Amino acid sequence: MSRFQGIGDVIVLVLIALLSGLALSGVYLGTKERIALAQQRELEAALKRVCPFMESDYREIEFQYTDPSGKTLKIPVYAVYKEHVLEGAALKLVTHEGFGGEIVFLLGVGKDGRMTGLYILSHKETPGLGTKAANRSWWGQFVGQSLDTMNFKVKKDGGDVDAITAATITSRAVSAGIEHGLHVYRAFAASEVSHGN
Amino acid sequence: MATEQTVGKLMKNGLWSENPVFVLLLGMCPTLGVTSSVENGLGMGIATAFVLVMSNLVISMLRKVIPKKMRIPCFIVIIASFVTIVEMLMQAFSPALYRSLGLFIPLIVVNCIVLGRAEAFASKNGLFKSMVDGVAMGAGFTLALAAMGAVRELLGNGTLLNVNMVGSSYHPVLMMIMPPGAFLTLGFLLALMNWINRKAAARKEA
Repeated sequence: MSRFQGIGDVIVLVLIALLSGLALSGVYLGTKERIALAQQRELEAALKRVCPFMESDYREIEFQYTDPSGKTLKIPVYAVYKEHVLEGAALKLVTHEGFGGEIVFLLGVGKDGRMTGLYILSHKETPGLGTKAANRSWWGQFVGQSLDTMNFKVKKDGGDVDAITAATITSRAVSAGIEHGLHVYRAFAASEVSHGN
Repeated sequence: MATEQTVGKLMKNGLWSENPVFVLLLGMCPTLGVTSSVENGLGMGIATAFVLVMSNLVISMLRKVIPKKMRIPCFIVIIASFVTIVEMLMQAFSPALYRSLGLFIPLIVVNCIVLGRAEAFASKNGLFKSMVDGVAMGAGFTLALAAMGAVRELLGNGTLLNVNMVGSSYHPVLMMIMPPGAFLTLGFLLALMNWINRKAAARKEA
């Protein structure tokens, strides 16, 4: 008798799990498209912010970049073309040198390899200190600069970058990240020319 | 008017005399973790309140079906389902809030308030009372989180709901939006609430 009662208990739990699963798949199917749409819209808004010239017909390319140490990185590039000529691009980059670890950001680069904007997608920096790196009042100093016009080290290390007060590590990480991004863009633009698209 | 009285009493319990954060001290993980701004506190509070109301309702509905020995796993399955639903809805309709609350949303599953109300209230009471209890506890939790968020955002960033409140001459106390600020704020708000309660009790005696 008691053995059958135990089975009954299990059946109740299984039924509850089954119904929960059904409810979940219903909500999943109902929200799947909206979630994809929301993510797409967020990405496009961010792309517009880093690249003033961004068009809706950008091309998403996974660019194989070989860094100076010989390591090959796959870097998502959102490239804009005007009459088949590369106008500029946004690059999705990661730096691991942040105070709290990884910083993922979008970097906008114009035709001549000049930086146009920055948008931080995710980070673990100190609130109120390192998080200032996301403000234009800080990264504005890079806009219009290229590898030829700026030394991407902070002033303390002998470069041109004004570091954020009390967040030198974050400043170094993002500055180095921007410099890296500009190198990637240069390689990307060169590969576009050589392939002739 | 017995029901009206109980509704009033349940609301008062949730909002003040048994406030989940300031009296029961349950669910401290999100309380300390996400209250760096009013917006985050409100968002987390509302998400938790939704889960509370829905899980209270379903558990009250199934209270005669759920076997005693298996009740905790049953509760967890139901609560986890609602949390996942909230997560998907938030991702679809409020991606910015979803991004700033991030990891704390799935953690609602292990928020003691939700399981606590299921065990202590919804599994023993009818549908209507369980729903009122869920609303009251959810509102109490939301208000407590918003209050903590308000103190921390104002002192630590000089803003309320991202609107500057104090002008540029104010130098924000950064620590208030970092983890130590959460503990300090919680302590001071607890003290304030105890002080008010004591005053009220003294007045009653006099």
